[in-house]
Amino acid sequence: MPTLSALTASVDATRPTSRRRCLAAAGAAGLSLALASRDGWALAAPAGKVLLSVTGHVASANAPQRADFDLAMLDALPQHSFATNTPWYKEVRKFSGPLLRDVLSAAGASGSTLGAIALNNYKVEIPAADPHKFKVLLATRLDDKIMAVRDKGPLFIIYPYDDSADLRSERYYSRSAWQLRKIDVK
Amino acid sequence: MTQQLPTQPGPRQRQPGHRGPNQRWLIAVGVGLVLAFAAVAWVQWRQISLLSDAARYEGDNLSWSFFQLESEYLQLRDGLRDACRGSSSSSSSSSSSGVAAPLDASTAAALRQRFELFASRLSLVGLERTARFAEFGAGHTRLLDQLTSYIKRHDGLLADAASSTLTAAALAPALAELGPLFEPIHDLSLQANQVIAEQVGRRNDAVRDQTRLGLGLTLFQSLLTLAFAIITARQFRALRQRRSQLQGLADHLQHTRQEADSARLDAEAASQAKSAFLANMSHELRTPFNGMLGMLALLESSALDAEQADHVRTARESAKHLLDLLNDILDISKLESGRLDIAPHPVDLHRLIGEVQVLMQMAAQTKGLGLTVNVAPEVPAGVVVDGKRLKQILFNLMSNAVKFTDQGRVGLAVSVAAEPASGTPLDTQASPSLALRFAVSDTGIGITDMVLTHLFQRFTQGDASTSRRYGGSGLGLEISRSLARLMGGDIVVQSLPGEGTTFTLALTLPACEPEANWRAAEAVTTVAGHGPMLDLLVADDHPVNRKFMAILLARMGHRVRLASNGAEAVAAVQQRTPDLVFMDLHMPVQDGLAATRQLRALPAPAGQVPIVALTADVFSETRARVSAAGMDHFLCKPVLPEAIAATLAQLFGHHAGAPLSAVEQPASPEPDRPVPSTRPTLPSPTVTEMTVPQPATPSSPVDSTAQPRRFSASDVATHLDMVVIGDVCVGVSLDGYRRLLSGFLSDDAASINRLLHALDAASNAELAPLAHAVRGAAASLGLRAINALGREIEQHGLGYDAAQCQATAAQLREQVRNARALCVRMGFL
Repeated sequence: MPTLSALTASVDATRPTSRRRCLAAAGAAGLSLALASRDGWALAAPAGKVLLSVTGHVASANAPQRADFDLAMLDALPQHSFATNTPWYKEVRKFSGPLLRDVLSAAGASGSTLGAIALNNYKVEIPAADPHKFKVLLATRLDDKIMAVRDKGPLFIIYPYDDSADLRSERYYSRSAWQLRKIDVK
Repeated sequence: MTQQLPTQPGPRQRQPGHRGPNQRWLIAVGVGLVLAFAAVAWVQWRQISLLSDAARYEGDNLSWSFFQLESEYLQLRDGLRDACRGSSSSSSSSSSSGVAAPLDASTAAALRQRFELFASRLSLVGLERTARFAEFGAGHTRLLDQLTSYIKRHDGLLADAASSTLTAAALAPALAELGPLFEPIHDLSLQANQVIAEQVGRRNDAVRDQTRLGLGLTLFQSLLTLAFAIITARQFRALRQRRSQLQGLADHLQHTRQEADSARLDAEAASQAKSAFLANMSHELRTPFNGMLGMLALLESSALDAEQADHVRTARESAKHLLDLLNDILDISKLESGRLDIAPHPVDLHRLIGEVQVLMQMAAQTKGLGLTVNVAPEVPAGVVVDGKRLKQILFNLMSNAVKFTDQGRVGLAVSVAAEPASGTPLDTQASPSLALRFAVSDTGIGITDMVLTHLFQRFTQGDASTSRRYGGSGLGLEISRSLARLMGGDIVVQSLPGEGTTFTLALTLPACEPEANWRAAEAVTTVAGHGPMLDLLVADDHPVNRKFMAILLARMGHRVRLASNGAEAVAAVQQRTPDLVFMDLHMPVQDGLAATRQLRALPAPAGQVPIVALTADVFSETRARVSAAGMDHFLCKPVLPEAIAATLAQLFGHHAGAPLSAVEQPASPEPDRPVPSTRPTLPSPTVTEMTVPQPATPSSPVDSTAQPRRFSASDVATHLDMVVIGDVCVGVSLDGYRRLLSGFLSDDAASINRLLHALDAASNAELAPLAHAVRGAAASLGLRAINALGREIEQHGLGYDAAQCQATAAQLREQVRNARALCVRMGFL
């Protein structure tokens, strides 16, 4: 399995338009994230409550040994959304948020395994290739609303289950950690 | 397998369109297989759907959810207990104020998160989700209600969004209310575990059933496949057996055909062998026959009373007839075994017809019939044809005509067909081919249509009655037609019963220039003296031959020296080298081959003199020996003048072989010109039987005291070779021939006498050379019977016993006497 950094590099090289869009967004919003990302500076420190900590092999740390993200930082990343069936809800629900790979890229993460840890200490290992193979969402919103802890929030790893029968399996359901708090990159 | 083939009815002979049991089975099994595959596919699809149900189920692992609920419950309870106890212990000194003291921020936040997490678990075990899978009873609903109301009651205090300050006192009711919930949550967790385990068991049962069903179907499918394979194998085996049967049949057929082929070949070989045997036997039979004829002649010539003489004459005629039959058989055998060769050469057609006429004249007159010979003016004198065979055909046809005609006349008409022949001409290059018609007609009994159809078939002779009446071998017509066809022609017949028959021989023959030597008599003087005079040497032990060659060559304008053996010849050459040597092969002292070898050893020019062999042997090995000895050419005895002329022309140019000059018109024994008249020019007997005065020749070795001879027409052909006599007369003139003949018959050279003495003395060893000398001379003079007897003695004399010697001597005397008598009768002597 290729390493995450290599995959990241290749993604960056093959997607210049997406990067240009990032730069434009950075300029307009006056956020330092994109600049930091581009220039390899440390990630800006979170201003609000930390929702996600990326630990382990992290190049762009903004805290000791880790990269912390608050909601604003996550919202500053390119946003995606899709509606899908899930095992947890009876009907199709819409999920929105940044792509997991953009989050990891922002953190400068490199490794082969992602250890997802939830608020209740639920732990699951996700292959580092998954976010690149699939359009894996780090959902911040359900039906355009912030998710409370009581509603499996605040962060929910969502695979595009409707895209492939393979994704509609226990393997990927179990990787879809909710109430996500931490990602340990190994 | 092969044995079964003819008797096995069964599927091999099934009607087209009717399927055999095997085929029906095959179809049934095929349909079964398709159904089995469909069933297996269905079962597997069912299994997949069960598994994906299970997957969804696993995703909502209820058991896990209940366990999580319990776990979160315990953590929340612990959190609350800790908060209450911690605040109470920290304020133990002042109990009243401790209960009211607020918790620090992080503990509060953690507690609130615990509460939120606990609340979030509630939805996972809500009826909304669990109802899809299992019923957990009234306890479940009741618990849900209790939990929901509990959370609702404490939301204001513990919710994430709540902002009120947490104190132990405030938390106490939440903890107190939480405690009693443990029992139902734990019970539900266990119950859920049981229910779900039961469900899993049911699902596993279903999967097991499905698997069993799939297994059964697979087994069924396997059995069907096996059946399919077995039937297919059977079909294949049947097919292979069928093929091998067919193969066997084909082999059998081929074997049969090969057998038939080999049987046919065997039969053909046997037939061939039979023909060859017949030919050989006929040939062999002739020898004793000649002996018998000789003895009969001898007997006839002895003193007999009239009755005895008649008996002997009858016996001799019977024997003669038998000999004719034998000759016919010999011919037919040769024809069948393919040994009969046609040898075309330039022939004087008019003379040939004259000869036939002469011979038939006698037979016709015997029966009191008129004989008409008519040769159309446009018929050429010279044609290229096998004269001997043409004569044989004409003799046969005319003999038949005479035989089957009692009164009236017999005719031979030779003409050229109006239209050009469409058949294959023998010679298309040099001279034009002419379609000649030889029509032999008679006023005889005629032939019915029915008989005509098989007239030319072997052994058919009109019908049985004519056969009895007229005799004959029944082979004559077949031989004639075979010969005609061999010569590229055919014989057709037209007949009206009671009025007569016409046999027409159609031959397409190339005409040739009448310039060959046999036309010499008319070519006359033109080239006299123009040719080079050659110095020639003739070596031959027989004086008649020497004399013949001397006269012949001298008349051609050459100078001739003679030698009687090889040594003399060598001496003569050494004395003066001649232009050419004619060398007999069989000579006393030194034979021709030895002499030739000696000559070839001499220095030039004597060593290079051209030598022409003269021999009566025509065997190819003789030719080989001749050329091995160094001889240049080869002439067969009796030597024909045109052969000598041709040889000289070849060696010394055209003029050397020029026609004879200054020949006096001979009173030729055969007609030189066409004979349109019915009267033969040949002095010939006009009656069948006559007495010939025997010339008294005391010096003759032959007993001449015999009775006057009686001759029949065929005797001429038996004793004399008119072709040779004619050739000799052409070569040396009639006078010359007379001289040669009288010298031979009066035995000037004493060769006959020596042979007779040797026979009388039974000196077998001497017989061959003596006989050779006699027969060589006889052949040259056209004395056919003596020649034949001489050859017989030469070939077989060594093995004669005394009786045979005596009989042969008597026969020889008889032959000489007959020849003399016949020659006298014909005016040669």
